[in-house]
Amino acid sequence: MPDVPLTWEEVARSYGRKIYNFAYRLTANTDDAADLTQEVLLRVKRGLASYEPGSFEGWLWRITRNAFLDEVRRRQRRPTVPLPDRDDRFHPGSTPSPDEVLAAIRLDENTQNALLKLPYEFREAVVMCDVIGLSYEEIAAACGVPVGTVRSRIHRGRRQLRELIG
Amino acid sequence: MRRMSIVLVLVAGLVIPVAAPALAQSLEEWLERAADAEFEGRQVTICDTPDGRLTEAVDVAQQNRVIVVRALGGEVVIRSGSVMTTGVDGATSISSVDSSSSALLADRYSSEVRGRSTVINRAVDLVEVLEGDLVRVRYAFDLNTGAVLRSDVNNGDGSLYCTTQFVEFRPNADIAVAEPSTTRELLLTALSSDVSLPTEVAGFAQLDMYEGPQGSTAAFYSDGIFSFTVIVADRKIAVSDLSDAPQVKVHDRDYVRRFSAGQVLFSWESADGGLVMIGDLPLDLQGAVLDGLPQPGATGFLLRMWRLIFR
Amino acid sequence: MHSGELISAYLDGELSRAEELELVVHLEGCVACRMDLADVQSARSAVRSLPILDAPGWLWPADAARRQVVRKRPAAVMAAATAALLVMVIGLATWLAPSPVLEMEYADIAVTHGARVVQDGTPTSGGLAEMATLIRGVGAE
Repeated sequence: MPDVPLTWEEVARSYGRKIYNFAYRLTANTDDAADLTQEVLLRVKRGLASYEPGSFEGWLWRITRNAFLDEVRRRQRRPTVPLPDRDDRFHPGSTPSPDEVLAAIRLDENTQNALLKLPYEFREAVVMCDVIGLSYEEIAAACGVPVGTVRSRIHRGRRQLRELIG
Repeated sequence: MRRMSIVLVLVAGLVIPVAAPALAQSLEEWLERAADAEFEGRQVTICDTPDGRLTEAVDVAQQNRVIVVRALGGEVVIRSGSVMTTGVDGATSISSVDSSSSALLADRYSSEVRGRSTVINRAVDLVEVLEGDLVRVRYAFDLNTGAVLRSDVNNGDGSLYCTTQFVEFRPNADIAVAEPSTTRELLLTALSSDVSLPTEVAGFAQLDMYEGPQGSTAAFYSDGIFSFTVIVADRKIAVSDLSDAPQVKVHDRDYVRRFSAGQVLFSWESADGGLVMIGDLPLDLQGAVLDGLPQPGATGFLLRMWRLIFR
Repeated sequence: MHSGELISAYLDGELSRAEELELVVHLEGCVACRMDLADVQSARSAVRSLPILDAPGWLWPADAARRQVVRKRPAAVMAAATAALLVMVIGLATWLAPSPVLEMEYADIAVTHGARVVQDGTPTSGGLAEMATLIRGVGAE
């Protein structure tokens, strides 16, 4: 990961999608996720000027997480559970059978529903690890907790998920 | 009589052993595990204050990051950082706050594991939060669930300020939180304001500033262990319930002060307007913090005019 | 008792070599832990196989104006003459009128502080006794 000041456009392009997925998996609501992504990118834009070289990913995800929490509280909304977007799930050329499609959709819905039932701290740790792909160190830096706490939250989150998904 | 026996239970409950095996966990990890603990019980808080000994008893249940506190026929539910209060008459209000910063443990603190003991016949791990040589807080973590069975908070001179301990404790809980028909929702929004409050006071960092009651401004400070909120308004603040609270001197300055078990509130007027400070600070930190905040001062006719014109 | 957490960390490649060795040895003799591993692995792949979604097209470029929550004091811009006149007029009024006082409920102050305290996690050293003041406050309304 190059540690040079990136331009706003570069950041928006590379990270916007990840940020959107972070927000979506935490809320299961496309509108909220889109709004949250905009808010985060705006904060990053404002913060880039004063960014001091360090861990860019850590800095970025700290902002993302804080902005997410602020916006969620501002809205006070219960997350709804719509059907998952299927846009880029299947590549043209490989046509799965209707059963396979149905099974895949059901599993995704199941998993997303289960995610929403986790306590927030566990949910965010699991999403940061398994959806965004951050390392434990990066998650620890973003959430302001020791790595041991990250380990514990991810593990407990997964165990709870297993029970919920069945 | 009952109060006496509770005190005896608390005093007798803590025996400090000699050997101390070191464990690799940080204080945050101990507290994290405590936040995950599942239990229900009755918790008593006893504080020795200049206004005398104050006690409070609450019934607590904790499960899956939801905490339910019951007292006096009312209830508080804490979930995902928001507080839902249901009063004796059934009226419910939900309060939550915008915050963008988490409290970090101030540099002046370190922690030490002090070995095993028992509290209400349950095995506990003792962990001390140290400020140099001073034991500031002593926690007793339940071996089985990780819950904080007891905590002792000391003043700067080593005297005991508050003790909080479970007098009944049962692992496991079954909390069902009903969605209330809310009667009032209070969402505090963060703002950047030019109200002049220091960003750091006596080692406490200002983490957030937001709109307080009645159009005032509230700023939240924390050092990772203790915290307080300062409320500032452009006029003198008259706090209900404080009519019989004494005016006291702290470091030679006058304040109105009211203690409750585990909390203190100060009210005063400075050149900036009215101020209120509320928090769980032990006695010496109360003075240290007040030293760093706008001081009580005479507000006269000229100052009132100045504020009226140049607001 | 922490071997459980090692299992998740092991799947994520976050263990030191020493810890990994310790875990593998432990797994040999612990059936419950092997079941744990299977559970955790299943949950982990379920989340990892969630599709990476495209944000809605209208999101880029994200330059939409956002609500700015900033309160500033208006600059005091007054001609000297007007100021002098105002001083006389207002001065007289405030001299005669009593200083206004802001009435504030103890409960509102306690709730404002309490709601922020719980944001960072379980209130511990302050005790949950602080919450009792919230109850008392709400009930008194």
